[in-house]
Amino acid sequence: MSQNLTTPSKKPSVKDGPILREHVFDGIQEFDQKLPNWWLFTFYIAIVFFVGYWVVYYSTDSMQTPTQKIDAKMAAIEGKKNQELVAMMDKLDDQVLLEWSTNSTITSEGKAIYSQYCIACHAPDLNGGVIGRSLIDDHWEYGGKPMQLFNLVLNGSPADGKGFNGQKMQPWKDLLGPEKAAKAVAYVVSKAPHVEK
Amino acid sequence: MNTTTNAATTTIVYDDKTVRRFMIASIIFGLVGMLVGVIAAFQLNFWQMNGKFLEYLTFGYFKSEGVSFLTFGRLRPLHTNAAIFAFVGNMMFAGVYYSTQRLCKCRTASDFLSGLHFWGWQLIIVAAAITLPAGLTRGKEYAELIWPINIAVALIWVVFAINFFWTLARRREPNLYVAIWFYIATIITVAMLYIVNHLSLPTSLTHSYPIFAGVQDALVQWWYGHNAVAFFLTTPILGIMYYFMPKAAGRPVYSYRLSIIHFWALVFIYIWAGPHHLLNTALPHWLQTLGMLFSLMLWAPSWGGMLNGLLTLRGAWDKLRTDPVIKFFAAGVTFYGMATFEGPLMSIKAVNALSHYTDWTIGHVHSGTLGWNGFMAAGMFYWLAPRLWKNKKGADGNSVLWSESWANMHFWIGTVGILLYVASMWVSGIMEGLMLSATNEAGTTLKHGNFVTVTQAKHLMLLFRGFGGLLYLAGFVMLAINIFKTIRMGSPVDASAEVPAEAPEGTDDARGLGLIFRNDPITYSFWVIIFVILWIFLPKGMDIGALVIACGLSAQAIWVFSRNPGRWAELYDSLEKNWVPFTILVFIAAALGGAVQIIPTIIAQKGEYMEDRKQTLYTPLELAGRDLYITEGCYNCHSQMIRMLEGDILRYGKSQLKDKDGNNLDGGYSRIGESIYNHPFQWGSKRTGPDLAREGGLRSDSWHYNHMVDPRSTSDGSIMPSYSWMIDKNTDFKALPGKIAALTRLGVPYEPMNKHEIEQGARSQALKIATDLVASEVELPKDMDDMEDEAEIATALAERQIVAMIAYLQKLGAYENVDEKESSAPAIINPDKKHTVTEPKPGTESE
Repeated sequence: MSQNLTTPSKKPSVKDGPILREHVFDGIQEFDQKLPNWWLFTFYIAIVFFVGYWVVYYSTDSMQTPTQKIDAKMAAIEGKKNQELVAMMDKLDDQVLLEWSTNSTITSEGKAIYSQYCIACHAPDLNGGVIGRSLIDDHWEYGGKPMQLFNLVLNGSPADGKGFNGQKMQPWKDLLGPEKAAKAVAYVVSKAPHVEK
Repeated sequence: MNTTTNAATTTIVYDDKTVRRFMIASIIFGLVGMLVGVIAAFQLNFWQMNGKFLEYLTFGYFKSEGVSFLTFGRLRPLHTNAAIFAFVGNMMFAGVYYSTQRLCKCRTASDFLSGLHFWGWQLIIVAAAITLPAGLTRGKEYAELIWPINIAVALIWVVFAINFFWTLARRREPNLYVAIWFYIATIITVAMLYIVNHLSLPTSLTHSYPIFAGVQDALVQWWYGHNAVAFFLTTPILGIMYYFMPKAAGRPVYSYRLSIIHFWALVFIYIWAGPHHLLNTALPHWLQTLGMLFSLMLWAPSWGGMLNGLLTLRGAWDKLRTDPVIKFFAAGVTFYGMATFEGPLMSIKAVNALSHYTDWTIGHVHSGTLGWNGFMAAGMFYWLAPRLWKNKKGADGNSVLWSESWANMHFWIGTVGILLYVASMWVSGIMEGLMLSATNEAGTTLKHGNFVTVTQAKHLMLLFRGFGGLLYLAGFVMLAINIFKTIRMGSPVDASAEVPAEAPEGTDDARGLGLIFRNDPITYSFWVIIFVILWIFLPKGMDIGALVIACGLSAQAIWVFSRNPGRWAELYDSLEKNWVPFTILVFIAAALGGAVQIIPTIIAQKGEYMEDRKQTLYTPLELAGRDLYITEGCYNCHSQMIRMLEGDILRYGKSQLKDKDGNNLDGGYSRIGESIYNHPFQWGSKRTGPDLAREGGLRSDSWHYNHMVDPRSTSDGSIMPSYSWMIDKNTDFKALPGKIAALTRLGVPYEPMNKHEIEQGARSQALKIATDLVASEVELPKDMDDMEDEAEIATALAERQIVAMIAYLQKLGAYENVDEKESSAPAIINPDKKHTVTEPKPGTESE
């Protein structure tokens, strides 16, 4: 912004204090005075930061691109997710889920999860509605064993399944993760009378 | 410099009638705009405000789940357009017409043009107030008005420009005062922004497609959107501040040199900062970086304006206690300082990752609009009213306001209102940002996977916000009453003045471009900027050379200046005396940033150059659904852009769609190519609801049907309005061939289809969806109660808007992987190519 600096001609200098300019606009007068130093510094620092940032990024290659950064982060998260899933699958079987369903700490956590994510379709009383099936009737479309229910929650309705009134459940693997899904299933198992033991 | 002491003078009468008209219009539309804002705010608390409340008001006589023209998606554009263009627009015109005449010592050039400007502008506002609730929109924020109104706006703006510059040409005052510089910047830049962002191809009298698509449209939109804030809401008000503040305070302006520096820095830098509305998105990285860095550089120039305003009060601080006008001005400028500090802060990528798409942004703009625009308007109105309508009822025969204590009361109610508004939006925005990205300890799953949890957590904060807005409105009602009473107390008077009969010597003595070329500071600035631009674009190695030259030239400029500072001051003084070169320079300064960002993007970011993904084209039915999505203003609450952030990807990244070989799509964050054919882009700016970029395939058709009719039946606690009319209204299939033809002309690579194929294709896709819906036993529209045959019902249902809408929603996120791109854009216009994209080798030395 080199064009901008200006000082009124020669003799009186703003360094000695504000100068009242002689020109008057409709009664409005103007001082001419030094710019506050802190103000100038913030401006200069921002300009220097601009130049520095750009040089470091585009001329040194020492910074990762945003794509590299996010891809690396997501790869790490995916890795952990798979570990969690494998660990949970190792831990769980029908028997464990049945045990969980009698553990009141787990089922009360499961109930909280159910009421946040599941009741919109399966209703608070688990009896279903227009969108989701009843979980307390005696019909299990995709198998009624605890682990079958767990897998259904994780992966959603099977691609070749006929759905309920043409509607299919979405996979919950990513949104809930295996632990929350398992707890929600434990809660359902504790309430549903027709789970195959 | 005042060389006209002995010249002949003449008496002129100022055209204050135009000022009075604009002022009254501003107050009336201000009331309307703020009222609509308050209603829209409470709609986010109570979904019933979207029309169902009419049922309560009429004791059940009027049955409705929701009224289309009262929904948030349509009212919010009405609110923003009314507040910006009707309230601030009219206020700005009042201020400009009042001060320009006095600063130029001549009456506005043409009374006819003033009248045309006034009535034309009000007609545009009325047209906007009718078309926006009717759902006629272009689907771009603050640029929603349909194309015939766009043309009217451009024409009336030109009328304003002619009238203004003609007045400058006839002035009896050689130097242009700083307020005039800001007015010039406003008129020139708004014209440029408005025209470019409204370029569209009409498909009917009320509908058009913007000529830009996807990332190009996003960049142009926010170049416009950001600079509408800069040049419609900021520069004209700064000009008004420079006139009315010293007038009201009776003190000289703090610093002339600060005026010069902050004016030129503001005009030049502001334009570059637009991409900060698109941080962490698919926008090319170099543009995001420019957006962030220029926003940081903008902080000081903005504060220059604040300093010059506040420090003008030095020596008059006592008036702060007694004079409501000074109260409003001081608070307004302080809010300006607050907002322009917050802006650069939010433009830092890491901060923006939290703040963007949340209520924080809403709080930020309102500290600007309510605090800065609204209070500057109030100060100006209170100052003007007794001068435009004289009553001579003051102590010494002066004219006075009807009630100073009402004005003081307005000030306090308004201030409390703003603080309540802004503070609750900070809390709400930060909480929402944190909640939406919160994960479990391992970082693998979201803590609040259900979006509605976050919506409900904000309930109380949103209530406070609405109450804050209500207080502010109440204050403004007091202003309206006060001004009305002041008008009734006095009678309209047009001021007169003694002015020189001839333009004083030196006025416009260097017509044409000569002055620009014979001007050291301009020459240096020009070459420094050229080399900075070369540094941005030249290939690696050469770019550093350009930077070195730019630095060298800057050093030389400083040296030349310091040897004889007076010389540059004289040059600036002669520039001030010549409006044509001055205006040309303002245009160049304001146009550069946009040109450097937009032109390469238009050349480089096209469908055929896409490297990894390319959007699957909409079928005619899906296109019809998309136009409905725009009509209903869904973009006001739903984004379609998954940012490059873990929280976004975990929440929205999974794709449930398959490619043409039946493999699951990878999903993840949104890539440029995925929206490359979207006219207009729909990346959104706020997530009152969840992102929809990968909505396709996630849920069943009947889920969407039920959700649109009664959102709470599928999402307990949702605040979305009911769109129940979409099951009653029909899709306009007949318009589709024209729309497809328009898109094809704009470069969307549709296979050739004739009219019949387009309509038939749309109808058969609709019938398939409708048949499934009927089979799913959704609750059918009432008029189908008597129908028995399922096929008959399906045929009837296929015509309805809901079906097109579902087709569109299920297509969101569809793309094809690009195996081999057809060609590539020249690397020179994509600085990101400079960054070597080799994978970082683990274990290698770090620098």
